This record gives sequence, C-alpha cells and structure tokens, in this order.
Amino acid sequence: MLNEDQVFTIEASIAHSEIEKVHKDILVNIDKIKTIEIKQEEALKSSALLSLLVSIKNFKPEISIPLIEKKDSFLNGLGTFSIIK
Amino acid sequence: MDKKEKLLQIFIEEAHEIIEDLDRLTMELEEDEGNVSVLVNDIFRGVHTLKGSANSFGYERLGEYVHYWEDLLVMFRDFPPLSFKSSIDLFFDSVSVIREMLDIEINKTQGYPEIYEQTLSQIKQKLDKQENLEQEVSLNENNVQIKEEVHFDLTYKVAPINDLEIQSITHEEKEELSKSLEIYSSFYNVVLTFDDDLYFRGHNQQISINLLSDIGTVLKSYWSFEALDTLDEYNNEHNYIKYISLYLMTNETPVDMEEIFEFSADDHEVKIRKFSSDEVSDICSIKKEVKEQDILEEKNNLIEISTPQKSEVKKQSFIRIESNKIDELFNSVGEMVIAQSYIENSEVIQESNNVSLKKNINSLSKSTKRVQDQVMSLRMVAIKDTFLKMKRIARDVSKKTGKEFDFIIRGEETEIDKTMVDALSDPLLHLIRNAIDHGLESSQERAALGKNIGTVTLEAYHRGNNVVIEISDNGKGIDSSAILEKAISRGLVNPAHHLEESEIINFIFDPGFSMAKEISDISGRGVGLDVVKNSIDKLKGKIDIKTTLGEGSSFKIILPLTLAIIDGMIISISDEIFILPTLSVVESFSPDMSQVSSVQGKEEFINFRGDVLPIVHLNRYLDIDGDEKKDQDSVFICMEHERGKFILRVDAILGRQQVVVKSMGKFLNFVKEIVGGAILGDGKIALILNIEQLRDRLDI
Repeated sequence: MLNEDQVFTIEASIAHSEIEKVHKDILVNIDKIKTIEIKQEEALKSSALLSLLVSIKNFKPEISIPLIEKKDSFLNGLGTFSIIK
Repeated sequence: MDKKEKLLQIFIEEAHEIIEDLDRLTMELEEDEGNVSVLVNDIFRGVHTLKGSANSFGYERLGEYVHYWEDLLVMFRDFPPLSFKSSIDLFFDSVSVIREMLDIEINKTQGYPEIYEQTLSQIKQKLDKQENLEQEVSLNENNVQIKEEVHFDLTYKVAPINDLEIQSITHEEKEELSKSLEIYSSFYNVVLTFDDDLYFRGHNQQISINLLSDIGTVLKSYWSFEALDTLDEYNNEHNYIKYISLYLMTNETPVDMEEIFEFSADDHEVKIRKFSSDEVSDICSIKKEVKEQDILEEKNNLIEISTPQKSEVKKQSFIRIESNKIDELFNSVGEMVIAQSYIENSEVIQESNNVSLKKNINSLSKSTKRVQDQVMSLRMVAIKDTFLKMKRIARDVSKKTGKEFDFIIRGEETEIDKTMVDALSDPLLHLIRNAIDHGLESSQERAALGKNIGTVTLEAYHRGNNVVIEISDNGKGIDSSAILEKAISRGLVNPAHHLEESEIINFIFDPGFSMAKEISDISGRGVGLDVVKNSIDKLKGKIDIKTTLGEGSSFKIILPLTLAIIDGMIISISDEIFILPTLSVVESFSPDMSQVSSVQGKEEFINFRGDVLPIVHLNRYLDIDGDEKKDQDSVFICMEHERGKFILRVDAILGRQQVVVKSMGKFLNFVKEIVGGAILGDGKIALILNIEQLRDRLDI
C-alpha cells in the first residue's frame, strides 16, 4: 500500500501467497516509492518477504527500507536482524 | 490424500523402520557389550523420534509408553553402574509393545497390548530405583557428581563456534544476554541451511523461527541471501535464503530443541550448539566488537567457518518414493521394451538393408534393456531386514522353549522384489518356529544322542532367475513313516497306494495337518505350514523339502526374482500361443509313443524315466479348435508340481523369453487357469498358464 508520503507499507504478517501481489504492486510503483516500511502487529509469517525487501534494496538502493538499513531493526522472533551476503 | 494424511503415511513408514531398528539394536546390545554406549544412544534416538512423532499425531498411548522408555534409556546413560543386562528382556518386550501399540493407534482401536501394563510397570520400577540412587548421590557430599547434565549425542550436528558472528554481538546485546540469563538457563546457536525448493514443500524459514520464538528469545539472527540483483525476475516461489544463524536464550534442553525440528527435518539441515556457562561468560565479556561491515568483508571466511562440513565425506542421499510410482514406471518401461521389440522384429526392419538403421535399432535395444534393468533394480531390496526380524523371532522362541542353539544368517544382502518382502515374513516365521520347536531336540536330548549344540540356518542366495531362501536345522529330521500313518488315519491317502518319500512329506502342507503331540503357543495347531504353502504359491514360488531322520531338515523356498517379470517357455497349440513358467518345467522331449498307454481309452499315461505320469492334452483341456498334431510330431513337456509331475502335450515350443506379466483385469479374474497375459516381441498377446490350477483340475 503506497500512501501520499510515498511510503509503501507491508504488513509483517502477510501470507506467502500474497507476496507475489506485493511484488507486482512494488514493480508498478517502483518510481514513486521512497520508503518501504514493515508494519508489525503480528510475527512475520513468511521469510520470503525479507528476500523481496533485499531484492528491492539491491535493485534500487535509494529506496529506504529501515528494516534492512538499520541493523538494530527488530522483527518479532528475529532478534537483531543482520544480513550477510 | 491431503497434506496431513501424507505426513501420517510418512510417519507410519518411518515408525515401522524405527521399530525394526530398535529390534536390531537391542539384539546387538545383547550380543556386543563393547558398543553399549553407542547402541544405547542409537536406541535413544529412535525412541526419542518416535515419541515426538507419536505425540504430534495424537497417539498418546504410544507417546506415553515411549516417554517412559526414553527415561529408562537416560537412566542407563547417566548411571553406568546400573547394568542394562537385567533389563535386556524388558527392552525386547518394550519393542514388541511399541510395535503392537502402533498398530492399535493406526487402526484407532481401543485397548492396549497384552504386556503393556506389565512392561510399563517394570520400567517405572526401574525409574524409581534411579530416583533413590539420585537421592543417595546428592546426600553424599564426597560423591563425585555423576553427570552435570543430560547430554546424549544429538541427532543433529553440532554447530561450530562462529567467531565472527559472536564477535559482532553488540554491547547492548551482551547486556541483554546477561540479564536474560537470570530468566533463561541456556544460550544456543541454531544454524539452519535450506535448499531452493523449500517453498514448494509448503515450508518456510519463518515456521522454524516462530517455533523457536515460542520457547525463548532470539537475541540475534544472521541471514545469508542468494543473489537477488534483478527485481523483475524475483520469484516468490524460489527460496533465496540459504543460511540463518540464530542466537537463542531459552530454558529448553538440547533434546527438546531437537523436537522442534523433527517434523521439518527434510526441509533443512539443522546444527545446534549449546554454549557452556564458561562460553556464555566469554561471550558477554568479549571486548572486540566486529562491525557488520567486517563480516561482509570477510564473508568468504565466514562461509568457510559456518560450513566446514562441506569438506567432509560426501553424504549419500536418498529419496522416498511411493512404491506404486515405481510400479507405474516399471509398467511404462515394460511397454517401451515391448514397443522397441515390436519395431526390431517388424518385417520392414528385418528385410531392410539399411545398415545404419539396423545399427541404431540395435543400440536402442541395448539402451532399453539397460533402462529396464535399472528400473528393475529400484524394486529390489536386500532381504536383511526380514532376516533380522527372524533373528528376533528365533530369540523369543529360544526363550520360550528353553532350547539353546546357534542361529546362523547368511546372504542377508541378497536382493529380492520389494513386493515379496512383506509376504515372506509369515512363511519364514512359521518355518523358523517349526525348525526350533519341532526340528531341534532339547539340550538334554542332544547331549544324550552325542550331538553338539543345535543350529538353525537361514540363508538366501540367487540361483539363475530365482531367489532361494533356505531354512535348515540339524535336529531330528522328519519321520515320513509317522506322517504316512497320520495321513492314512486322517483318510488323506489310501493305504494300498505307494507314495514317494517326497509325496509323503508334502502332506505336512495340508490344512490342519500337525505332527505336534502338544499344542503350544509356538506351533502345533497345524495351521503354520498350510499358511507357508499358500503364501509361497501366491508368490509363484515353490518349496522343496529335504530331510534325513536324525540329521535334520531343510526347507528350500524358490521364488522368482520378481512378480512383475517371469521367465517363460512359449508354446503353441493350433494357432494359439501360451506361456508356461519355466520354474515349473522339468524338461521337454519328443514322445516315444510306445511308452504311452491309456486307461479305458481315455486317460493317457507315459512311462517317463521310470515314472508313470499322466498326460494332459492342452488343446482338449482348453477346448481349442483346430487339428491336433500327430502324436509323433507333438512335444511333451514334463511339469513339476508338489502333488507330483505330469506331462503337457503341446504342438510346439517356440522359444523361451522373459515376459512382463500383465493383469487380466477384474473381468477375467475368474479364469483360474490363466495367471496373466504378456505381449511378445512381435506384438502378439500370449496367456500365461497357471500350472497349479491345471494340475489341481486334472483330478488324477
């Protein structure tokens, strides 16, 4: 979901089957998106979402994805989430 | 079949495998004291896996039992002074209870196995003794602590210490770790590695992580992603996350940690390390903090550190395939072989002068045969597991009868068609029980006769296109005169008729025929050998018995290598083609009509090698139209049957060929004289004759 501030929000609890739809939404809006935020009320359901975020960051580094940039970002159950390529 | 049913099916198969392993390991435990700790550990793994799986499927009765047995195994591990020797019978009984309990749970029936309560009570008694011992240990200050903690070898590999990851734990995280250890007793590193197809199997990394979150707090996690450079080509179904390393604070034991991953064991590799209290202190006091960038820069080193197993010996991998899929593949390959043979034998190819074409067809023929052999080998399994079951049976019967003997197993690596393995269990069980109960004399009797310790030998080997399984003993042998007497008394034979020794011995396969003077729970009801014969008949095999009074007996079961292919003799009658299983063919010959005689001009007999054998005119018997060949132009085939030999009169023998047996379908099932059909190389269809039925219908 892209808001007026060009922030694309994704629910952390999004099901694996819905990630493809999110992927398409992001591709359509890729030039408008400035930030992708993960809204967390429940635990992450599918780790494929993390793959998608990393892919977006690699593809367009100027998009801000706090979860990835801030190394102390926290998702339920992941502890301090660190990426090693 | 939905996912749950599939999982249940996998569990049932694995549970049976585990139970067979428990039987084998317990037998090894009884025989080999040198490997006690390894064997107890292996048994523990099986029991532990069974416990977790049973509870997951709601099999509470089974789960409860194995839970106590698991505790008993822990006791033996932790209290070495306690001898397991006095419990070995309990181990065997427990395996029997588990096997029976599993069937009860699967069939959703009420109740418990007969010795459930008795064995459970014995287990609990032993555990109570352990508690007392523990109390004694704690009361005695001078006593050396026996064990700091339960530390069985884990099923999963131990994660190596990853210095780079540990050094990157921040000061804040260390503080959190220190504080958390007031709540949690343990600190673990769990390393998970995944393959590409993870999502296709309905799994995803988060399932494992969420399970871990439920039992503690993840302090830190490291994730390694595969190349994710092209967003356009990002595939939601492809797993890009290949490595996750989690640092977890929890109160769970390593054994409990393992349970979390039991049901996803096929979906990832798991390595677990529990940090000792000293290691945790070191982690909390590490001064150098490595930044994430350092890890990125040294990623090659990291990979090397985190995956040292890659340099180890290449692991043999297996996949589990439903047997009906193998059968379908086998049938398809059978069709391919027939089609290939049809092309090869077609007139166009036979008459062609195109050398290149013939060369290619020849090459195709070889490749097709090779594929057929390879697919055939997929159906073949070593008979080892069945033999091990028999070893257990022999042990139990030895205990019950009080007879001591050597049980010798040979050729357990001999391969046999998978479909035959299960069907062989019952016949072998009966023959082994009989060999021990009826065949072997008691120790006192043997001593009085000057005989050494008894032996029962179970042996398997390949002979031609057959598998032979031989059960022999060096006991009393079978008294044919006593059998004849019994057969006469039961009205099975006319006392005036002369019977060959082998024919007399074959009466033991008659339903209800028993030579046992007393009926025991082992044998003597006269149902065993009847079952044996029927089972072997169904497998299209036969049994030969050799016995010498006072020296012992040998039961030789001869089976085709597979039920899907038979070695057939192709014969013709008028224009019809039939196949005879060569296993039943003794020999073929051109008849000397002077040796043929008839009774009242109807039944014909031939004097063949000293035996007078009935002749069956197959064309008359099968009511086939057409002129019958002159006697001297026909071919006689001597067939073998346990009720004696007989002669089949046919027009010609066309050849011998291995044929893929095709079912006649349910509409022709009632034609008992035909066991199936086969498509020959030239595309013609031939019916396979049922020799047993032919002989039985002769009424001679």
